[in-house]
Amino acid sequence: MKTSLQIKILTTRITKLAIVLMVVSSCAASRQNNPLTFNIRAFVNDLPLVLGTKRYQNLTGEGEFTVENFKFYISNIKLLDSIDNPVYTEPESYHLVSFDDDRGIFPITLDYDGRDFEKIQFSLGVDSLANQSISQVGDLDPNNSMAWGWAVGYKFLVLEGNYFKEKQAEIVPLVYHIGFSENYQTYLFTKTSFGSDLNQSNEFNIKIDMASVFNGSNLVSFDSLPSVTFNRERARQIGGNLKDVFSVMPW
Amino acid sequence: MQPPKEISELLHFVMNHRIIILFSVFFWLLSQCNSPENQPSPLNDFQAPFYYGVFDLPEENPLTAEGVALGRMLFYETSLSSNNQVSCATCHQQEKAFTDGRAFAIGVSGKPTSKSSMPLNNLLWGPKHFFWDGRASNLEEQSLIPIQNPDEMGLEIEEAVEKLGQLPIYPPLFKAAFGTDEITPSKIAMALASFQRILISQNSKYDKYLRGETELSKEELLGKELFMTHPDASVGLRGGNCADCHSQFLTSGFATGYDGFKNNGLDNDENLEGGLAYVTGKESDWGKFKVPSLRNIALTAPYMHDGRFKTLEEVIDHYDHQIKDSKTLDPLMREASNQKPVGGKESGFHLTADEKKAILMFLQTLTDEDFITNKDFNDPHH
Repeated sequence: MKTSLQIKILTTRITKLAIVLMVVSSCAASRQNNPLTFNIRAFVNDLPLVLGTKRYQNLTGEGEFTVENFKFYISNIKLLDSIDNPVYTEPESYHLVSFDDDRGIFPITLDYDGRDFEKIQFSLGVDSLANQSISQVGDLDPNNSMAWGWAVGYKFLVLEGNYFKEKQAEIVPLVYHIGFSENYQTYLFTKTSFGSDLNQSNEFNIKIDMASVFNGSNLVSFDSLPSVTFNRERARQIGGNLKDVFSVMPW
Repeated sequence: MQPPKEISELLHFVMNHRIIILFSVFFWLLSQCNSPENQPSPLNDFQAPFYYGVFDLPEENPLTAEGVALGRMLFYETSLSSNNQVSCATCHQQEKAFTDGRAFAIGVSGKPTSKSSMPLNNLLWGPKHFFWDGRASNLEEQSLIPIQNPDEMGLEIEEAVEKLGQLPIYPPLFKAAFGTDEITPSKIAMALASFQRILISQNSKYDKYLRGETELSKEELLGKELFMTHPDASVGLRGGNCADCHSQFLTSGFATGYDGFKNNGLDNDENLEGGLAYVTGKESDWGKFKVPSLRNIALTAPYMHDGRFKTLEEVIDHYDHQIKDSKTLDPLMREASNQKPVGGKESGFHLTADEKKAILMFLQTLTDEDFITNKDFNDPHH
């Protein structure tokens, strides 16, 4: 444990040095690259996600709900060749994905050298090594809203909102904080599944459907489970649905 | 499956191995990008705790020794007010952790303003929007607003420039900080912002604990655990729910977007002030105010944007059982409870008397005597 932490800390030091060196070298000239952008687009079923004001139909029953906060970590992005060897591995690959701009789009731009690849791999959550550290790598920040606070580690996915049951004035708060290493998920998409657009624009879209967090293989209703925080069993029910939340989205 | 490690354990390990980031090296390297002659000197002895994390500085306003020195002079300069009696430090007094002990700030007009003076500390981190309603999106923009507010310092910015130019001490200080002795509003703003940025509180008992230099008492430790924990009655986990809004090390609001602005249940819909909604124009932001840093909180009474609570006990009681329902009440606050059932009009954390006392004890570990007596932060005019 100690050794791995030491390595982690050393790596962080080297990374900080690398950042400094990058700043210095960027003074001289910017290097050639061929950026590839992947846009994560958030939906509730087929409706674009709008935080705060927009009311959506309850996913598993009657009534409506709003989404006040929806965030998750996308991490360890890799571009792979046909036999799954990495062609490109994004450094410091921890992105805190949020949708504050009212368009429901979060772009991630990969600064890679344009070599050919066949597949795109990424994960939802934070891998266990980084999750046991307080180092600031990418968007990991122990002072942000994703840090648990009571223990080292991060929430992988956060969804907070209000549920308005029909004919009842009462607002039921919805709080889903999903962490724990067993809920870390890795996804693989082939380049061909994005169609020809990718070759033309170097940009592709991946949809995350918030509805599938609840109505995936495990049906999770707002009535029976309005809140999931540190109850590991409950988190696992949602965690099981996370494997199907992303899909390729044609333009 | 490995359980999450205790934060204190991990921090002690990190601190024992002397992982301190020397930001000065970074600034020095940055300054090498463009090096015109007569460059002000970068701030060399500037250090910040590892656990506060990285921060950004505006490219056009690097931290320099001369800029900070000028900013400190201006911060304590009463000539920046219409009656020559009010400076920034009138409402931001070092011994009160840069607050004024009042519910509502009072400046040149003698008329109470609509808000309580915000504490100033660790402004390099946390929310990127300033004032209780977030109307300034950087410290440069923030700095000039109180000078021009008719109730605070009451001086048109052109008048401020003219008055400073007539004081022999200032042109050389502007020349040292910015290369020419011409005084402009943006230079005043940059210098004031720089001084505010170095107001770093990093030597409280909590900091010493985080660095492994001291222990917290049993009660303080319980308070810390409660502070950090969102209660989950389904697994018997008790919590005071503070860290849902106040980050674990900085104890400030969160930096991402407007995450550091919350409706914390002070009023119902009928009485709720607009706050952030006036800045964003969004109905869903109605009643949200900036989550302040809790560093030195024992010194900054009275509390909340309108100073409605005189003591920390009153603040804790508010969260414990006096949360008022409204449309934009934070869902985390609505949901959090140490009792079942949760939600609806029964909002409140429902802690025991011992737990409330423990949280109070932990809040008192955030007091930093070195910060309020630091001679680099006091009035340079005397």
